[in-house]
Amino acid sequence: MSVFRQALIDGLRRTLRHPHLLLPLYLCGLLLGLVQTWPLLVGLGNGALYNPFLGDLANGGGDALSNLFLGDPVAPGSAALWGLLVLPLTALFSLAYNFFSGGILSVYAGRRPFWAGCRHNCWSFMALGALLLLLVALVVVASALLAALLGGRVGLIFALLALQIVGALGEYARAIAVVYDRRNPFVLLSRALSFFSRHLGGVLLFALLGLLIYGGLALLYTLAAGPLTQFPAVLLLWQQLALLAAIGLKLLRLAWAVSYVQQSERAPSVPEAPSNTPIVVS
Amino acid sequence: MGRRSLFRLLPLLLVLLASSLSSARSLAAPAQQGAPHAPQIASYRMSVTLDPSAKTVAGTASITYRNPSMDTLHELWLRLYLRAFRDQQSVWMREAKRVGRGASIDPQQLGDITLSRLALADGTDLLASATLTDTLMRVPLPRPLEPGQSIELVTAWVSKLPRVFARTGYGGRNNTFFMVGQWYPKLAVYDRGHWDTEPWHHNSEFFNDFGSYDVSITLPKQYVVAGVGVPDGERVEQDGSQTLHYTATDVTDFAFAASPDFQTRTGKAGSTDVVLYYLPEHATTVDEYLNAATGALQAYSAWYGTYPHPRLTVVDVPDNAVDAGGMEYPTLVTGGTAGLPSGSGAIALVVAHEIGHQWWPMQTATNEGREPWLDEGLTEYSGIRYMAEAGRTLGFGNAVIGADTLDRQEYAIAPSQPATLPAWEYNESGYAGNVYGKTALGLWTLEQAVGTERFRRAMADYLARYRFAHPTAADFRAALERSLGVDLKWFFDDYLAGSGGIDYAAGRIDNNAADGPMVWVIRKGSVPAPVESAVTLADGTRKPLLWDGQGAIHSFRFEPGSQVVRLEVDPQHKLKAELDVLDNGVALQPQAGPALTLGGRLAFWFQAIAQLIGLFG
Repeated sequence: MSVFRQALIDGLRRTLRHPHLLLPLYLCGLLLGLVQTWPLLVGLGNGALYNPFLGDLANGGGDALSNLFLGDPVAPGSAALWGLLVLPLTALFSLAYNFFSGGILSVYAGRRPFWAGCRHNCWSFMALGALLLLLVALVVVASALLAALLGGRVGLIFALLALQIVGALGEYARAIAVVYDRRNPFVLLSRALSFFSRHLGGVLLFALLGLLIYGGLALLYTLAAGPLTQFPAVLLLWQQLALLAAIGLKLLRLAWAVSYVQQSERAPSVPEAPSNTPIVVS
Repeated sequence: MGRRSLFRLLPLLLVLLASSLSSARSLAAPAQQGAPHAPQIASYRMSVTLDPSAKTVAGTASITYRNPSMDTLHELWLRLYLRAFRDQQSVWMREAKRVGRGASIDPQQLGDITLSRLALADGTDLLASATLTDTLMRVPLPRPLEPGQSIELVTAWVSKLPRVFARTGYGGRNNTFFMVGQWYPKLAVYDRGHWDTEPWHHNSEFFNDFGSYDVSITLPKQYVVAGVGVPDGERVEQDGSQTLHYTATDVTDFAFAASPDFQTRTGKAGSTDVVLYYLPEHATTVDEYLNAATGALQAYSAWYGTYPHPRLTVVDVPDNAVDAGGMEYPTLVTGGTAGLPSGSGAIALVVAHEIGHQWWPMQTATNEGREPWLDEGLTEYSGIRYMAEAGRTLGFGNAVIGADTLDRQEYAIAPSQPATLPAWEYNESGYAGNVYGKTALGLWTLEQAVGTERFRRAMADYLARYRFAHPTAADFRAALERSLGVDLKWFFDDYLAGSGGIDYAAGRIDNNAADGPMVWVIRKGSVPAPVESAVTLADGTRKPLLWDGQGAIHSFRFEPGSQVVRLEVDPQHKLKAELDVLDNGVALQPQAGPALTLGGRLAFWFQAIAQLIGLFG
């Protein structure tokens, strides 16, 4: 239990010590979001797409959104394209995560400077990401089978639990990669599994803690977002803060994984992350 | 077609006079239990036994039928609805198959109804000479039935219930839930000189005469029963089973639901008891059910006229028997959560809709097959208006839409069909979109055009005139035009019966015209509905513009020296039936504020999705 407590405090300390590590992922997401909405913004901004329902639409009106689709025969096609665009852009963000997480974990583990860590782990984390994707696909198939056999609720619960476990597996695999300097994604996954089997309680506790904080953040966001719809500019700020907080939580989970691996396995001792590590983000 | 003579008309005239006096009384005060107000044309006294293990209902009935016409009848027609599910060859199943619905019935658990006896009260057999076609039985009468004369039939039958399908059958926990609807030999309607002998179609519902029901239901004692009318006593049988007695007056049908799991909660709407029969797994939805039921009942009573029964029963259905939900019978409606959690608004919408049927057609017994918009359309309108006035939406959190938007979505699937076709001329989506959606949105548009108060008064006048009768579309139109004092050609001919729609667009803004700025409003749709528009001048002044919709385009001129910066057509969204609103505005200024807000929101949602997926592992 003391190892768990130490990892808990240590992970938190490491995250707080390097708050700027949030920025690369956040800016990346923001940039991709703007790429996606830019054509619409231009069309609306110059008055070309004027209609009296725009105010409702801007304020999140589901009816106005529906009107958009009903009134314009091109709208469903455009929306489908927009929806399809989400896929490659999300994939790009996922690549960014696989790239930046190497640097973030290297800094947390005190192994390498940020950019060097990004480069060093880039390909193995990409491959690990692909393996995790495969596992997610297996979970989806298994859930569908369970749903067919035992009912939708059972399938859904299984899917949610299994996805949490696969997600945590990925986090610990990345932590192990950085701590032990291993790069083979299969080895990383098997070592993560082995770590799970030896420290199941701690891993589950960290996962549960992460989920609880995430739930709290979501609740806080929802509670404040309702009243803030009256103040669009403030709501925009609040939304971006919520996104930053969600990334911060993800980094906290990674920091906990690194700390827990290092504390539990008597891994090479954890030197203080060099405070003068050059981290350049743009 | 029967022969007529003045002499034969006399008894009928007396009966009609008595009926109209009776109807007039019913308008003055809410009906009291047991005191009939509708003409008693087809009344049933039934003793039935539900066998939960065999999934059958066996019964005997005494049916009293009074010839309501001025014709002499030489035959009767009985409807045996469950025969629609006996095999894949019925009209119902063939039509269902075409739209892919028939496939969902379990071929091992079909339904059927078999008569073992049909005779006159004096014992004269009628079954031997009767002929069966699809869901209809033609019964030649040994003696003619004169106008106003009554006849009593006795019958015995067994109904085999299907696995819940098309609003009837069994399902739920261990198949212990039963929704027993369309289940007994039922007399067809003789109206306007002929029997309604249209077979039961896939899209079509029913056409019934008014009467009284006295029904005794025997079933195992652990079952709780929700039936049409009011419970009127119970007894324990020697074999340990129970017999529950129900009576209903001024109604057109009888159905009941049974389950050992039913729990009840009661609410009040004025003097009417609203009794909810719900399943334990849906306990969290009880308030939503009751609020919607009492709210809708009170609203419609205020809008159209008092609900004429002492009790309304609401039945919750299991998630694996949703096909039993969303159905109306006199004094009884079925809902269902369809697996959705409480608060989505779906329960409220379904309950409000089904309760609307307690007026249309339970008080105006229209032909639901031939003119389905007269019941489903009017009811859908009532439901979405209730939802709007009660501030109820569909969805969760910020992701909500109004009930009318749902109708617009359905209407948009096949918007070029009339809403006034017989049910069997539509496919599934055309039926929902036009009979329900197009009619409801059109009625709301009409309401906005003439004013809510006037419109509701006109609807109440229609009900008052045709309560407990068989009005047609022509009657409805005449009643509305008479009450509103306007010609409603644009609504009934161009919109409801036409293939075009309501569609306007903002035209040009010309601030350089010689005699002052001008704007144009364009009618793109074929329906000349009255339309309001508004312009905003450079100094911020807003000016309303009215156009009756006649002609293809209409111009408005403003004082010289002023400058129009924005033209909005239907700024208050009164044209509920207009699908394309994207061209309803032109502006000379960009909309930077809303554009940034909208862009920011879209970017946020993308970022949130990307983070949720992209940060995995």
